[in-house]
Amino acid sequence: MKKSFIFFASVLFFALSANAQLSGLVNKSQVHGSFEADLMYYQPDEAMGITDSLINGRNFAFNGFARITYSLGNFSAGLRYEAYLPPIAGFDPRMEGNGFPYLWASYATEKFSFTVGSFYEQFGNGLTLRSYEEWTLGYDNAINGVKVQYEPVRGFILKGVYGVQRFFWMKYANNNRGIVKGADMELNLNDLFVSMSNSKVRLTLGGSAVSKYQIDNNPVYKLPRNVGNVAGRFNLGIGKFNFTSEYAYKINDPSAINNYIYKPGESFLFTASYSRRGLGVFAMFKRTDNFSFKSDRSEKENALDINFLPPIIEPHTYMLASMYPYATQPNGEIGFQLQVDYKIPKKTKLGGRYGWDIHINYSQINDIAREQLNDSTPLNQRGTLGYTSQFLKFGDQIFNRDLTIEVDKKFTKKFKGYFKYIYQEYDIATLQGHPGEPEIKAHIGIVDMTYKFTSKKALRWEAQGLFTKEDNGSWAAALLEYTISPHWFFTLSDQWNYGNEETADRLHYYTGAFGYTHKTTRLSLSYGRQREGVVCVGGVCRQVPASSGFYMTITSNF
Amino acid sequence: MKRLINIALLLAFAFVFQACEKVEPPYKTGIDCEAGNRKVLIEDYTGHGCVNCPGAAVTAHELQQLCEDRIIIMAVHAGYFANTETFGPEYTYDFNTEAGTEWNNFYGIIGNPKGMVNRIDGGVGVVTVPDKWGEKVVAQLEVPADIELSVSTSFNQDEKQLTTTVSGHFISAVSGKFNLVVCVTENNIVEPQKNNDAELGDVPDWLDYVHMHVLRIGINGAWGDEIGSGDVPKGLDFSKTYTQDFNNRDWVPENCHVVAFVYQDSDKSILQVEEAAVVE
Repeated sequence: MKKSFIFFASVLFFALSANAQLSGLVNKSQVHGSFEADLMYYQPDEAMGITDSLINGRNFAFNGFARITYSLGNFSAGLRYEAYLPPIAGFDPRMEGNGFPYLWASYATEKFSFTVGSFYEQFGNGLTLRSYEEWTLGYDNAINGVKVQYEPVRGFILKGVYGVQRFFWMKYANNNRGIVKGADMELNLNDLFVSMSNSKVRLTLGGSAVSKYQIDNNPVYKLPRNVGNVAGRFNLGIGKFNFTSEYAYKINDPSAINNYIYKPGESFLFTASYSRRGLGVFAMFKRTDNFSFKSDRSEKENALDINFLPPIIEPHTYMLASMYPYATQPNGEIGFQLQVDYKIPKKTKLGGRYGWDIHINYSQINDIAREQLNDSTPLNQRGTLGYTSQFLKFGDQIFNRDLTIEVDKKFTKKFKGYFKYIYQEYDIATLQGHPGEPEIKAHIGIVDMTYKFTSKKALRWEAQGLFTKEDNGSWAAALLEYTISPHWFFTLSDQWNYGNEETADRLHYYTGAFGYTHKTTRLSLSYGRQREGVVCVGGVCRQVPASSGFYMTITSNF
Repeated sequence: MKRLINIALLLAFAFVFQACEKVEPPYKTGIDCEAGNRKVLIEDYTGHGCVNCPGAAVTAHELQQLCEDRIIIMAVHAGYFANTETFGPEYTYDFNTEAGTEWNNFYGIIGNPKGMVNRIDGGVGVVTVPDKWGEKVVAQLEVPADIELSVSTSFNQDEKQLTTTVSGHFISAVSGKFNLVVCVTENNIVEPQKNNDAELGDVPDWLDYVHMHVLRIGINGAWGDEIGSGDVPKGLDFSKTYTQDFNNRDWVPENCHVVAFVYQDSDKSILQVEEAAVVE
């Protein structure tokens, strides 16, 4: 009896103790997550050329994900589930499938951290390495492997990565793609040296080196198995001025993108900015020459990019302004961007009661100037050095020009508006792969007005026009949006291709939508037509085919 | 601190030094065409509306040049880019075939150019972009053949009738189900082709493009006839004779070839392929 009692007491003690420990762990643990489900229902639309046979029974498409992160002290782990059953039209069909492509665990102390499994990382501006995920593009080049970071003293950070990149659902095996390894070092001199900690001059220096290994099994060309990409960068701030720059150099990397030429690649970025109250000035210069860097040299689509080439163009979000988005040209581009933001102060003669915000941006991107290696070798001939190119010389071919002038004006407490004029020149033959089509010259005007009835109820309307003789001709668009904060919104919009040369193609692309938000969960449902086009984020683009039907999105996070 | 930075720089230098491989000219290489005895079929899925397809045809041709006698090309026009109503008034010629469309649908090929090499996976997928064809060709050329194939043809010019006999011999014992497919391909068809590579030809419409290796018909259908199943013993011979009417077709017999291949039904991989001209 006594033994039984002691045994029982011991079990109870350990159970309570374990329970207390478990309860302690549970109390210290944190779980976060997010969820999104995008569902599309396609219907035939004769006017748009969408027939039953084109839909081929696949009326539904579904893209969805859930992301969960668990953390306990220095430890954290997470996963992401994804499903594309089948992918929504315009997403890469190789995405079809479902599963857990992203699993990771990490341990981080003040000075040292490591991650195993999938991770995202960026060195500098990304010229040597940037792995990231962009849901709207269906783009994910996560690295699966090991990442370490060490900060021996404040202001000195070392990073290292080693792994293989995600390629849709294909597992890495038998060298079916390359292996990526890289290191990055960054010195923040103001943190590193006490004497500079309060200096008006702020200086950060950095350098990175990334290499990929891929087996050479090409029967036609001798290919480098190891390709290195190195870069140096700085960020210098002097009072209200700031300067940043990065230069990267890549050794011979023949690939499907560059037509198997052996020329080394290089990329250069320089930005300068000035900022004071009411005024901001920004300038940027960029040159890229043969700088696609993928972990599979045969991949030509949006996948397996190791690096990232930042865009230097004003991003547009309005319906018609985003019709001709710029796609970064990794084989070569040279350009610049100038931007001025000025606020005419309120309560002045010119500024009136509320002041004005003026935003002007001009950007131009050309092809780089290329010269033949010799008289007998055509430009960019496979299995040669391709061409020569002077570093600062602009090529004759203009890829893109964009002048944006925006004025934001608050008229009364309840009434405000945005007025935008954009002029674009767009080389659709190169940027959208429509050879032979003439360059587009488009004038775009946008008026966006919002009237607040109460603190919770507002009506916003847009009127837009895109005027061009090229491509599909001119467009007009309008939008009405009624919002009841914080729960409801209702929108009606239409884009009308009234200037199309073909009368039958002067279509209306109408959409009606509403949405409801409850705390962190949002549901929206829309019905209408989606015009054919291109969606770009950060210069990375995907084609969007024309479609018609219902579209539902649910997002939530916790 | 200085020491740490020096060590980091030293490691970075060593890393960069080890991680770069500069290739010196000549950049072209070659392959051993004597290794193995299997022939290779490159199926180039293409369409006259596909701007990147002339480049893919060049890739296939470049590969064929490496081992001319052992690499056979078949250009299969199917899918969206082979549509006759989409790409303008010049693009009305119908290259589509029943067999080609059947294969295109079976393999779920979306977008061109895409292709298969002996319909093997090779760790990168059965259907791949052209730049993956080369590595599969190399791998397949080194594989010993399980089957020997020979194709004989005779063409009756008066009746415009092709008679072809495909004979085969199992070199090794194999098990499974094996089918024989016999097709006709044609060279030198001058019809428009979309193109975006000015180095190759006119952009965007290459009106006098010369289409090569175009699949004209699967004589015995897309999936062919069975030639053996179960445990097939070493030394088994087979022979099949087919006729194909050329009447009421715009095919030029002198430009046509018979392409015959044997595949394993379980994974559809091609074990051997052979080609012979319709008119010698």
